Parts: sequence; C-alpha cells; structure tokens
Amino acid sequence: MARVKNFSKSGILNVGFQVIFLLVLYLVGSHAYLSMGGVWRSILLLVFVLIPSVIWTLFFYFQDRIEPEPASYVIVSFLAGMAGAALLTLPLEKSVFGIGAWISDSMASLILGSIFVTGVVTSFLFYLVIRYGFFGTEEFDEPVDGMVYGAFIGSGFALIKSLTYLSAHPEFTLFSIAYTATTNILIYASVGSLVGYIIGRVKFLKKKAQPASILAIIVGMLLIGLYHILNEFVFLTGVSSAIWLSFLLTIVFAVAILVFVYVMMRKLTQKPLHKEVKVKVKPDYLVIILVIVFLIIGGITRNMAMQDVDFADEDYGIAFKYNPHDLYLLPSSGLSPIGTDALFSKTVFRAVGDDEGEFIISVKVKEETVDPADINTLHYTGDIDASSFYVEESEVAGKTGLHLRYSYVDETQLGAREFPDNYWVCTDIIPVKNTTYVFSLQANPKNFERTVKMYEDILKTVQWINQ
Amino acid sequence: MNRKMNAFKLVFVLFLVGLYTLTAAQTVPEDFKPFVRLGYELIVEYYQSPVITDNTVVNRGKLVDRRMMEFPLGSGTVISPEGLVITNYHVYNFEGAQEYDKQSNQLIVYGPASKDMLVYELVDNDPLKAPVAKYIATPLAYDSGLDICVLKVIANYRTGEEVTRSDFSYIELGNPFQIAFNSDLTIIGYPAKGGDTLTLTKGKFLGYTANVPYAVDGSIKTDATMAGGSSGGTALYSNKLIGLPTRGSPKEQKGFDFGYIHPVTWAAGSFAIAQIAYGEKIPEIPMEWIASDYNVQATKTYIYVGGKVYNAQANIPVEGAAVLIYRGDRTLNQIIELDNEIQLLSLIINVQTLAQQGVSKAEIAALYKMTAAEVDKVISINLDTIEVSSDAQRMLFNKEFFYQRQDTNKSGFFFTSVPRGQNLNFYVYKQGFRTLQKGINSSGGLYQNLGRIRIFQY
Repeated sequence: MARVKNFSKSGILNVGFQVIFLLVLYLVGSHAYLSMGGVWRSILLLVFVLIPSVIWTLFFYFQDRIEPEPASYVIVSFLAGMAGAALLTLPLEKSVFGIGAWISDSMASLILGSIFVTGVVTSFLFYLVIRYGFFGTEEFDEPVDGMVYGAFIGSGFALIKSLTYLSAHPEFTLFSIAYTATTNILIYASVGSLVGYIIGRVKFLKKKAQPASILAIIVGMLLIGLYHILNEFVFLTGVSSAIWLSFLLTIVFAVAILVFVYVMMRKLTQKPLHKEVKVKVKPDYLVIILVIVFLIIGGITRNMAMQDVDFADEDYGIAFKYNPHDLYLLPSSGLSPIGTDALFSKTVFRAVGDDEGEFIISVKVKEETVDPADINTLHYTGDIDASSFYVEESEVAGKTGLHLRYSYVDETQLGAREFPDNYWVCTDIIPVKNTTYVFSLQANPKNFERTVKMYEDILKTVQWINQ
Repeated sequence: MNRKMNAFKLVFVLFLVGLYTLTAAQTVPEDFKPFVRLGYELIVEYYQSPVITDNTVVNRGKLVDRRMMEFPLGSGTVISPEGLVITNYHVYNFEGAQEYDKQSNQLIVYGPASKDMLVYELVDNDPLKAPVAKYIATPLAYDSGLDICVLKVIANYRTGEEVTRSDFSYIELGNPFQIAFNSDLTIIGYPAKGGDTLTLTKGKFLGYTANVPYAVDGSIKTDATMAGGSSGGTALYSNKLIGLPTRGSPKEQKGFDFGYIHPVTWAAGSFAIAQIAYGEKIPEIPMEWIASDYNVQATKTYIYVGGKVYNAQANIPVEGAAVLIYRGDRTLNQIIELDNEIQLLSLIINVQTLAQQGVSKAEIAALYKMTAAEVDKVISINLDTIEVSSDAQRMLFNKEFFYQRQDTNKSGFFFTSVPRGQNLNFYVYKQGFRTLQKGINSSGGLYQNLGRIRIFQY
C-alpha cells in the first residue's frame, strides 16, 4: 500500500515538476537561446537536458527504495543506455536507414518507418541491455527491478538522443530545448520500464525468457512507433500550440504506460514468486531472427520510399527516373525559363529543388530535326552575357548532342541596393530523329556540385521510348 | 401650424448643415505641422577633368572634394500620431544625379547618403517660415505602380536620438470618392516654384481621370495649381487628406494645365505592409470608401494578405520558405500545371506587348535573353492558334485569381490581389521543416494579417 501511495504521490510530484520546468522555460526561454559558443554552450545544453533526466531517474530510483539497487548498477544502466544510443541505435537509424530523408514522405512510410526502424532499433537496445546486462545478476531480485533498469536505460538513451538532436539545432530556444529533453525522457524511460518489466517478470515466474523477450520487443516497437506517428500528426496540424499538444500527448502516453506497468507489477508481486535470483542467460536466437526480419521490413520500406520515381512522356518518347526527395513540385518563384527555345517547345518535365537556394531541372522538347554538328548554342542559352562558358560533346542514352555549362548574372533582377543574382546552368541538347530534347539545370551556385550530380543521375536513366 | 414649424426647422437644419459643409470645405488648417517637406541628405562628389563623350561620362576624373548637403525633393503628410508619413514613390525613389560644370571643368555627382529621408517641419508651426530638416524617416512600404510610399519617423536628424513619440500632429484621411462635384480642394506642399516656404493653393474637384495620358486611371482631376515639388504633398477636402498631388498634365499638351491627385485609398497596400510586416498602427480606410463606384483600383474586389513564417522551435522568422496561396477548388498539381502554362504564355504576351509599345527588338532581346531572330518569331506567334487551357485563359485574360507564390524574406510574405471572402488553400514548404497545408478564408476587409505561421523543424 505504501508503495502505491509512493508511486502515485511521487508520480504526481514529478509530473508537476516537469510541467513547472517546461512552463518556466516557456515564460523565460521562448526568446532565449544558448547564444554562447564552444564548451560553455555544450555544458549549458547538457545541464538543460539533464534536468528532466534527473527528475525522472529519481522518480524511478525511489520506486525501488524498499530494496534499492546499488547506485553503481543504476548508473551503469544509464550509461549503457547512453552508449547503446550513441553506438548502435542512432547510427543505425540515421546512417544505415537514413530515416530523416524519407520517413515523412507518405503515411505508409511514416507508419512503417516509425515502427520497423525507430521502434525496433530502440526496443532492441532496451532488450539487449536488460536481458544480457542485468537479467542474470543477483541484484535483479524483485519485479520492480526490471522497471527500474529499463527506465534508467531509457533515460540514458533519451539523453543522447536529445543531445544529438539539439546539437544539430543551435538556433532552438531554451523552451524548445526543454521540450525536446522532456518528451524524450518521458517516452523512452516509460517504454524502457515496460520493456524491462516484461523481460524481467519471467525471472520470478520461472517461465521461458524467449517468448517474453519477443513480446517485450514487439510491445516496445509498437508503442514507440505509435508515439512517433501520433506526435507527427500533432505537428502536421500546423497549430501554433503544437509543441504543448505534443507535450500533453507525451505525458498522457508516458503516464498511461507507467500506470499499466505499475498495476501489472503489483499483481505480479501478489503471486508466489520464484526465489532463484541468479540465472544463466542464454542467447535468444528467435529474438535475433525476429529483429532481423523486422529490420528487413524497415529496410524494404526505406528502399521503397527512397526509390526513384519513373517519369514517362509517351507522346514525346522519353522516360527517366528522378528522386522525389531532391525535387519538389511547386511553381517556381523567379527563375525564368531557360533559353528562348522554351517558346517553341513543350516543357515535358519541370521540377524545383531547394538546396540552400532554388534550382530547376527541366526537360523540354522541340519537334525539329537538327544535326548535332549544327546546333546553335545561342538558341538554347539566349543572348546572355555569360560570365563563363564551356561546350563539349554530350551523350544521353546513346544519342549524341551538346553539353553546355555556363554562368551569368541576371541583371533584370538587379536592384539599386542589391547584389545581382548569379546563376549557373547546365544544358544538354540531344537531337533524336525529328525531335530535339533540351535538358537543363539552372541554379544558384551555393551547392552546385550536388545539384549537378542530381541532374547527371537523371540523364543516366533516360530512355527513348519507341525510338 | 405644426407642419409649417416642422418645415421651417428642416430648412434651418439643412441651412446649418450646408453652412458647416461649406465652411469646413473652405477652412484653412490651423495646424501646419503635418504638412512636411521631404528630401535626402546627399553625398556630393566633385571630380576634376572628367572625360565626357556624347553626353556620356566615360571617366569621372579625379575626385577632388566630397561634401554632404541637405536636398529637399518633394512634399509629404504626417498621417498618424506615431509619425507615419505618406508621399509619392517618385519622391522617395531618388537614385542620384550628376551634372557637369563647364566653368570649373568638374563633374558633380549627387547620391543619397542613405535610404532614409529627411523630414522638414515648419518652424513654430508658422507657414510663413521655411521648414527645417528635423527628423529622419525610414521607408516602410511603397507601391511604384500607384506611386505611393509610406515612411515612418524614426530619429531626430539633429541629435540622432530615436523618436518613439505618439503625439505627432497628423491629418485624418477623408473619402476621396465622396467629394461634391466642382467643390473646392486645398493643395498644400512645397513646389520648387514656391520657394522654400509652404505653398497653399486651391482648385476645383473635377472628377476622376479615365484614359488621360500619363495619369493613372481613377486619379482625381483638379485645376488647382501644382508644380514640381508639390509631389507627394496634401490634397485636402473638408480638412481631410483625400489624396496626394502627384503630377500635372504634360507640357506638350496644349491648353490649360490640370493637376492629378492619387486617391489616398491607393495607399491601402502600403498600409497593409506597414501593419503586417512592421506592426505599425495604420490609419483606417473604411470598406465603404473602397466599395465606391468611382474606385477603379483592384482593392475593390481584392485584399492584401500577409504574414510571417516562423521556425516554431527557434522562434525566429524563416527566410526562403515557399508560400503558395491558391484557389480552394484546385489541387496543388493543377496549380503546378497551370504555372507551367502561364510562364510560357506570359513570356509571349510580354514580348508582343513590348513590341506593340514600340520597344526596340534589341531591347526586348536583351531583356529576355533572346536573339533578334527569336524575338521576331515570338512576335509572329498568333496567340489565337495556341491551345490555352480554360484556367490559363481566365487567369491571363480575365485576371481571375488562381494562385500566387512568394518566398519569404525578413518581412515575411505579402500577397496583393487575393480575392475577398473566398476559400483558399495555403501551402508553406521549406526543406527540413514539416510542410504546412491548410484551408483559409480570405477576409471581407481590406487586409488580412495571417500573423505568425509556425512551421516545425524535423
């Protein structure tokens, strides 16, 4: 009974602390930034991220105060969560799966990516540390221990996740820093505690560990995935209070999980429990296979999302592939059509990209027969005063033509007190039978090499249909 | 008896109203402080022995002296207690000048020291004394087509101290479309012909312009004397600012001179920018003025929509975000297809229009980066033979609203010509942020400030 009171009392107290922490930083930190540079910024960032960590790790630690775990064990579990995040989970999620580039593409990629990538890698980390780090130890001697270790691993994980994300966003306000740190610790500590509880309970029921581990991973991945999906919906509403709504969602989600864990744990302690506390942990082969299967599903989702999109215009006999992550379809703002042959030709494809500056990739066709040796470049560049100009032979899908590369200053946009816009252009003019195809890239030079690569990748996939 | 008394009362009241209107219309203002002169602080550079060939400066020569000078250019009116000043765009838009002094063999080059203007205020509120440069005003918004510019007093010119007063003497706006025909207008300004002191002239309200060369349709026509320097000043009716004296009839036209006044309602767009982008309090332009039959400007059916896109997590404005506003009954893909078509057609129409206006082919070729042969080809295109979609036709020829796109800058975004009271789609895209797409209803008023649109970073 004392434990129940302690749980609810300290739980309410912690939620209160958390709300006050966020509210204070909302009031004083909505326009405040960690504007200092170097080490001081990192130290202060760490302090801000650690505050919610301390609030919640103390909460979990005190749940176990009747027979508390050794401080060294809980610290190690926290550090293991940190190490796992830094060495396994985040590299897998960001570098291997590159989730940031595709997860928001569609509803399907959001759902599958959240569950089968983010959910699986996080849940698997919690499982690995609990099952192979603490499950077999003598100190893991009561059902609450699974919850405590899981929560500490989740807290360590959340700390690294917050620091990694916030380090990449030095422009964030103190309020946004507090929000990120708070929501991460709440969600990962609570899911960690549930995963820890499910894995740990079998130790006291003398049941097989493998099915419990599978259940723990599935529950963990579904909860983390569901949270990410719901949270994304909150932000996609575009309401100005989305950060607060997200916080509300997180706290409801976390509290619901913690209450569930606590109720289950109470029920468990009322049963006759197995007293053998030191067990030998065997490898869970089925779990490994399952995780690999899940990750394969995540990988397939990634590949499908990252796949180039087919473009085909049968009327003009051309097909190619382009990456929808690099190009988006929007009316352009100021870039004028490239070359004047736009007037006599049809634009079959035009896509706009934004790579620290707008760029356009277009394909135009003109029904005329031109000898590659007789191409008048002026028709395709216009009468511009090029700052630099380069011409060479070009080959696209076996057809030869001309490749132009030039830059020019757009004097029409030159205001009295402004610098002129400078554009770099790549154009490939490819005559095929009685049609001339004009491929073009027009961009500001900020990240020109990357956009040229994108343009060349499109040219490599060109196919002439019915030619 | 009662009927007689009532009739007498009615006549008496009408007499009083008439008398009031007459006196009000003819009163000279008591407070002259709002009638300001505007100019620039110029940097004047003297170059010795310039090389000039065919009136073109080939080489400026050696810089021998550089001085600063105050240079009044036109007139303005203070229109708010916070120090908003309205004038003509052409008064503000002074890029500089140069002249050759044959006697000293010097080229003298004048250029504004900054984009901020000097505000000359009357000394002791006395219209018989020449005004002196007292404040610095910074431009907030302008409309070059309607020749309107709105500035805000920001500093004391003499001391450099910031001015944050809200007790400036100002002139209220009046309805430019409710002026009795042939009634008196008062024109106040600083025409060069009138010297350095304030000049007040009177003239009749003669209606609104239609197809007057060099005047924008819908300008107020008057026979009041106006001259260079009156520009941007004050046209009063019933002691309220109804417009800005902007230009006179061209000298080459024979006969009596007319003056043309730009109705103050044409400042609606500039006011909207001042309010939306800078948060300034702006004078109200009631909708009933805009709804007048005599108002021929787009504000009659269109509104101004603006706002700022903010990074929600960093609480800072986002520059370079693509903001698209389009009809509620079209999809984004339909708008993209339409944009492709419009770009092409616009180019053809623009080239043909320029050619019809007598712009040389060489100039058109330079403007649109074409060869002369291509300009010929474009001019020869018969638009009637080109297949144009119904939407493109409605957008280009009926001027119907379909979409507008802007990239945000420090001031946010600002759309003109958005239809009043319609369902629209609003779309914000910026790489690294969650895309925002929502439906909005354009307001029934003159402006719509969408405020801070928050987008969330991944």
